[in-house]
Amino acid sequence: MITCVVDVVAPEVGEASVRVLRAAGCDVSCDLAQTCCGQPAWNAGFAREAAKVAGATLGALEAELDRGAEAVVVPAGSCATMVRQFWPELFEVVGDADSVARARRVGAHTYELSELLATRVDALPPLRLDRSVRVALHQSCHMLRELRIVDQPATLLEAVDGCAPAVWDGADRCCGFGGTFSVKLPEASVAMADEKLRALAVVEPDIVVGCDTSCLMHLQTRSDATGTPIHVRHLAEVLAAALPGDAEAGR
Amino acid sequence: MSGHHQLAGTTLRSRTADAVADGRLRTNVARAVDRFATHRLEGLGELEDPDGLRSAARALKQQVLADLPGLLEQFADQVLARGGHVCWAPTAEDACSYVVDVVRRHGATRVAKSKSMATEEIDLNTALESAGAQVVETDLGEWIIQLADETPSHIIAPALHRDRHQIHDLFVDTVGAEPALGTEPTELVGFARGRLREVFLAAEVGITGANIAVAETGSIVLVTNEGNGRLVTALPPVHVVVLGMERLAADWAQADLLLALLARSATGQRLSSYTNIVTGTRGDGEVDGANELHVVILDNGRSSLLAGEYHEMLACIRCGACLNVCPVYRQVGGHAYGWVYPGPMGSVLTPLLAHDQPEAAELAGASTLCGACMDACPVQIPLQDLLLSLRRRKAQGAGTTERAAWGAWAAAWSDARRYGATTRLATWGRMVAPLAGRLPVGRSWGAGRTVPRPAERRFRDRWREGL
Amino acid sequence: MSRGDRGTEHGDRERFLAPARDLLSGGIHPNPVHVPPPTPLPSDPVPEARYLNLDPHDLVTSFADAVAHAEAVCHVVDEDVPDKLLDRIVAELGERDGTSVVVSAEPEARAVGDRLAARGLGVAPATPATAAAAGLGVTSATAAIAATGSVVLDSRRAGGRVASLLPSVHLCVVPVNRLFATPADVLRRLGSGADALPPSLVVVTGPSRTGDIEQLLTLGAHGPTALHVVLVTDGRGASPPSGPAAV
Repeated sequence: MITCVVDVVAPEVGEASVRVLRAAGCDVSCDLAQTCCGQPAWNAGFAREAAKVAGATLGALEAELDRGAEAVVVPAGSCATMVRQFWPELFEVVGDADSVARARRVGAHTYELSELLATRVDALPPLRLDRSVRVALHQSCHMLRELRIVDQPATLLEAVDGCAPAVWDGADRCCGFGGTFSVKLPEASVAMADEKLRALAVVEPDIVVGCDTSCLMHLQTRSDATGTPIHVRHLAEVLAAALPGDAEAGR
Repeated sequence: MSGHHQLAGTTLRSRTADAVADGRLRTNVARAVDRFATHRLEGLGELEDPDGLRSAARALKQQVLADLPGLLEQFADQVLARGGHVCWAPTAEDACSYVVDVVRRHGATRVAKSKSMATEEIDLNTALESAGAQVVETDLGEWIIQLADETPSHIIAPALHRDRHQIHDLFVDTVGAEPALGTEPTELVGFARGRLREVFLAAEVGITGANIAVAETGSIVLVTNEGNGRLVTALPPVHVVVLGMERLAADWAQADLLLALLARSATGQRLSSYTNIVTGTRGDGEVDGANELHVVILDNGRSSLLAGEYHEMLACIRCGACLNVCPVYRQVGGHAYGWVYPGPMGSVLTPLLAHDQPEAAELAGASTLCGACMDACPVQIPLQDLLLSLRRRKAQGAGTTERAAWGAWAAAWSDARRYGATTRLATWGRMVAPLAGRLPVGRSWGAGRTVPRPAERRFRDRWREGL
Repeated sequence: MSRGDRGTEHGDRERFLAPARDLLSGGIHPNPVHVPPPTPLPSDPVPEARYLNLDPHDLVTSFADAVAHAEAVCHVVDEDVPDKLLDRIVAELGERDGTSVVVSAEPEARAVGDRLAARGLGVAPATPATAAAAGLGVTSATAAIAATGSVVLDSRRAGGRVASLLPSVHLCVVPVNRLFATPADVLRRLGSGADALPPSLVVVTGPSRTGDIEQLLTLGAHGPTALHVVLVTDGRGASPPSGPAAV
């Protein structure tokens, strides 16, 4: 499941995810009938609207499973959470009992990217970056606290030769994006980003890595506006860059 | 409590913006919550399987709520049997008028209060003052904000938004402290101790809340560190308790489990300095203790939450753990929430209890849904889900612009082709970008952040071309 | 109204409880995402906390450590409150006029009071007036709790509350046969028997304190600034039987 944010704003994250999954021995398909998981509207309290949009994606993912897909992989923690944790309640709330069952089926096969990759880390080729990179990992809220994906991103980064993870204050504190929160309470949202950026400045990372483009984009756009930009990368991009050269030849 | 809650006439946005602009406030709040949060982890770390205990506490609270009417009757009968008086108060007005009546009947003008959020909620102090009584808050933090004519900004540490210098100046300005009084906490506390000791000794009525009411024995459990809860129940001849109807435990086994979690979750202590169990009135041969006990059982909207979507909010034991881990509270402090209860629990309770104030509904938006509060709550209240429910409730009354916007979004994005059309860069460049700067949404994002642009070739374009 | 009379009920109990009864009769809507655990039956046992800082085979040491952790001072003695401690108290309080010491009605407290009086201090039974003027309050306790370093004060036994509350120093003398392992050992026995609970039962864990000023711990907010607990082991050494005698 590509997610609307990655599709539209950060397609390189999607490309990197595909490459890494293939390098781990997965056969990757992508049904373009999917659109979005519906989370923006769901979080704003507009369930009916969210269900309409989620329904399209549900249909596309269901079709994939029907065609033999074993897993739905999502390169975004909050979207994976929406599908796995909240879709059943979403369809229940709007009174669509059929879709509740269908959503449970899809959810049972849905994994956030690092969650899946961590189970296949031995299938990956040796991961090595050209030069040593100091990395600060931001742990996004939904995948951390809802899906309980705690160690997997760090485990994958540690498997990359040349990747030096930095320990920093508040790594698991919310970045302040929160969907519509970012535009409804912008002052608080920016203040939360600033606190994260201050903590990052203490450890001076080369890149800030996360599994949610929304969070990374929030921190990036704030840092750009203050004139001390950070460099963000999705975990998939770091792993893809660490793949041996011939894995890239497939492009 | 004095001061006025700012809910009416302000917006959540304006209150949070003001708070964020106050650097001193943010420093004070961050320092406080970091200490609390760290201590909480240390305190819970001393328990074997703290998450198992939290789950058991959640289950225990479900049991209490399922049997709440029966337990309330048992509790009331026990209080009555020990000579205490019981007032069933469906509304804030019922509670206030009863307490005012008690005070008047005794001709009392000096009332000492131990901290009680429920009395804040019903604005009891105002009612008492209108009846000619002088009410003094005895919890140090509450006394400080009373003197400052402010409202509490945290449920455990009401004055955490003030540093020592601000408190020193307050004492000098309002109660005649000598300017030479030092700003060391020991000196400030010593000053308060002396002043408030006089209040305890002279008080004619003592008013407290209750952390737990134990149905089996009709006991009130009052947890404090300062000792003001003990003094307010030992010295004045009349003791009035204002009890939220949901704050029950069936028996002492349940109370024990809750007490094992309460102090650790609030401050990290194994137990607070004083866990004061009050059962009835002064005994024969005792030299102190109240002669008269009144327990006011308060509904004020709580019963309407039973059995419905917000049922689990009634399990809250008012420990403040959720405030201490909330990344939003950290930046804005308690006053930004506009009412009695701040932080995540306040974002849920305010729309539910302050239902007569239309501005209360937007409190559900004071969250990024990060879930840290749920991980901290000792009774595992699913706060995030309650916030989402409240947002759905609020959306039902949404204005046409917002509804239309989401409707348009849903219409476009419920079909891959339309989704594709609306997300092309060309479309964005032609239609959306010019508006973005003018729409409130665009301005809100753009004030402090750069605006992200869609990619020229989206993922789906690249996939079609062959990835 | 004389003691022993039933209190009066104000307001309409049935009218108050009717909305709650009504809503609960339809069953409770469980959270669908973060599903609660099954609701226990009233007969199901409530789990007890287990305290990692507690050594069940050495309650005395656990207690002493916990008392110190709570910012109080623990004196573990074989036979009685030591003379040295009493001498120190005399030295600290000696400068004050009038009643320096108040004692509760408990025999252990009275005994200490007599020894202090013999050393020349003014000692009086505790009342609000005497306690307000005293520098030291002496009490015993109905129980002590090893896991938390707490002493449990019973107003019926003590004849009141103020001895442990108004003076700035509180001295509490407890025999080891009242030392329990955990709060559950004390609290879960409450309520068995209609007269079990006194009007005031206070679990005291350290002296009075506040963090209201910059979250910095300051002792002696409204209650005592210092708490001294004397645990009398009666020659039983460091390991009393872990099953204490009945409260």
